[in-house]
Amino acid sequence: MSSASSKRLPETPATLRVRLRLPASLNRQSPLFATLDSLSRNRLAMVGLACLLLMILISILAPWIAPYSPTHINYDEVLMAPTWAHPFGTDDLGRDILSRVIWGGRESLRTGYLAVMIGLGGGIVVGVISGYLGGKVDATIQRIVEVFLAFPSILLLLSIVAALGPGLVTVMIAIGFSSIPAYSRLVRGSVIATKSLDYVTAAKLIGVKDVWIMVRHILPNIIAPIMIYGTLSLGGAIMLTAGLSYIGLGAQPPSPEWGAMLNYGRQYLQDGWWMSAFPGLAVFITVLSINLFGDGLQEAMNPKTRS
Amino acid sequence: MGAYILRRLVMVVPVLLGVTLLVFSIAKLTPGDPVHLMLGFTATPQQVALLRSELHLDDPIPVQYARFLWGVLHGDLGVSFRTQFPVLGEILDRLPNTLQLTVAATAVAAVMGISIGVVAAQNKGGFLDGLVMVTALAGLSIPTFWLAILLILLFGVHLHWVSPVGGDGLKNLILPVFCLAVWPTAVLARLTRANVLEIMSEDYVRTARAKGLLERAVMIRHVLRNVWIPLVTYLGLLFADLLGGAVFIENVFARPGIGRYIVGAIINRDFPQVQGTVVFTATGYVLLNLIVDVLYGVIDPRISVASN
Repeated sequence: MSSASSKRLPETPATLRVRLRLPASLNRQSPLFATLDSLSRNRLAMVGLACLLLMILISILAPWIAPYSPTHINYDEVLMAPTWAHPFGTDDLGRDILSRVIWGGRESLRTGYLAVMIGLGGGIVVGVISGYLGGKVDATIQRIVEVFLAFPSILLLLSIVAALGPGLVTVMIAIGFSSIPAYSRLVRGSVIATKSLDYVTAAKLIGVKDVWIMVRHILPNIIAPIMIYGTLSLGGAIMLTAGLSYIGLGAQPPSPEWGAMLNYGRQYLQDGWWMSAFPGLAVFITVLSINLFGDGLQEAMNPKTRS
Repeated sequence: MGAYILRRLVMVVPVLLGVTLLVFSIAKLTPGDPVHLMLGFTATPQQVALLRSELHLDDPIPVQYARFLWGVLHGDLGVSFRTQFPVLGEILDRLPNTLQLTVAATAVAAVMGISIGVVAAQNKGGFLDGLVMVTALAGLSIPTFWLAILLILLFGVHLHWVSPVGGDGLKNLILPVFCLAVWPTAVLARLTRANVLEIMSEDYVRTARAKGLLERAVMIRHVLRNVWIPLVTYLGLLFADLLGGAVFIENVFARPGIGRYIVGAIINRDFPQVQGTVVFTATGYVLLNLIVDVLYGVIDPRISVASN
């Protein structure tokens, strides 16, 4: 046995609970304990989680921690390179880039989160109905879902943006709706696996209505893995939001959304590299944090790869 | 094999019907009158009525859809509101630029991704493996449009090696191809590593080693030959990734391709252009996936046998 693994042996359930802040009642044999234990040992995943939480915290506290207003124009400090007073520099209107990046996190994270929620919500409704009812309803829904999955979702997304017109809300709706088919497939699979379990059969036998079985008995048992999958998709949604804003289809100036800032900054590439560098860095760090955490989570949830 | 190909061909029909129905419905649900978009708001009611009847917009919706579908089947994707040119011609003019970019990016991603993945798998748990995996994850997380800006800043603005505003020629293709290839290279590296590791734990690899084959022979004859199969599946999906990437990359590098065309169409609210590009690209994607599936059946006989 390697020295590394022998060093880990003396760890007791009590110390683990303290480290993970798990409730004392949690069974050490449970899959949840094994997952959280493995996750907490994965240093990269923990770094990712810490960075992500920090980004969320910064976004929430933006009104209190941003040194300047994101829209405050100051013609005396136009296109200033990074200094102590303006660590990320200023733009062509003298606005502080750091403050705009901090405020922009609110827009980007919120849009990404709501887009995932729209996709998840739609996917859950379609997937639960299709998986639970089965038969002709399932067959019909699945043929439609197959059509949507058979061509790149970016085309559906762009069609929706074209119909509703460019804007951040449009982008949020488009990303959300274009991800419904993929989410619904995932939900349907979980529902089919769950609906044959004894407690669902028992509920049917005592005459519980289908809608109530779906909401009260099936949904709570499939929601955890689906929420995790949703969290993992957050990175993609944030990147897509920024990308669409960058090409002019999302947030419009003077919004401090990260992609819109990049779009605005590209006119000043020669004289103000910082206008493009820092908003992009914020997108990169956020998405990397989510992916690091997501990789660790997937590894921890799989008994074969769990450390 | 023939029956397998035929069945896959039949499956293409509902998908393409669905795509046309989808873009047609979105166009119909879009607020705003296309006739006013074409003529402007100063047009007289007579002009509006005339154009409306010319475009058959007074027909019942199912008739309009049938007419649209008939046009699509005959290669007529409509006429642009803005330029008044046939949309198919405009797309075909831009297609070579997008194909050049995507084919080159596919080649770069395939060579780099597969080589990196194999090297990482051979050094599993080592420093090189860790470095590859972290770099691949960074490659999946970096916004390609931002990477493109940084590279333009370095090679275009500071070093003057390439034109910062884009342009023709092989030299100006390097940065867009590199940026577009980053994501698929990272995906392929991770996929190849996982597949190589899985195959290396198979019994037949253990047998090959036990009979005294050199490690290189084991790798080439037994491992790599089986790695191809799951990688070919990704080829079909790769096109979707590259298409998504091209929408952003063509805009950053000002390359006149299909990605830039559809974004311009959306901003200018030119719905025939949007509709035509979506139908054209979706058809291309579905047909490419059909080829990949058939190819998959050829390189892995288990697939066609199982589906028969």
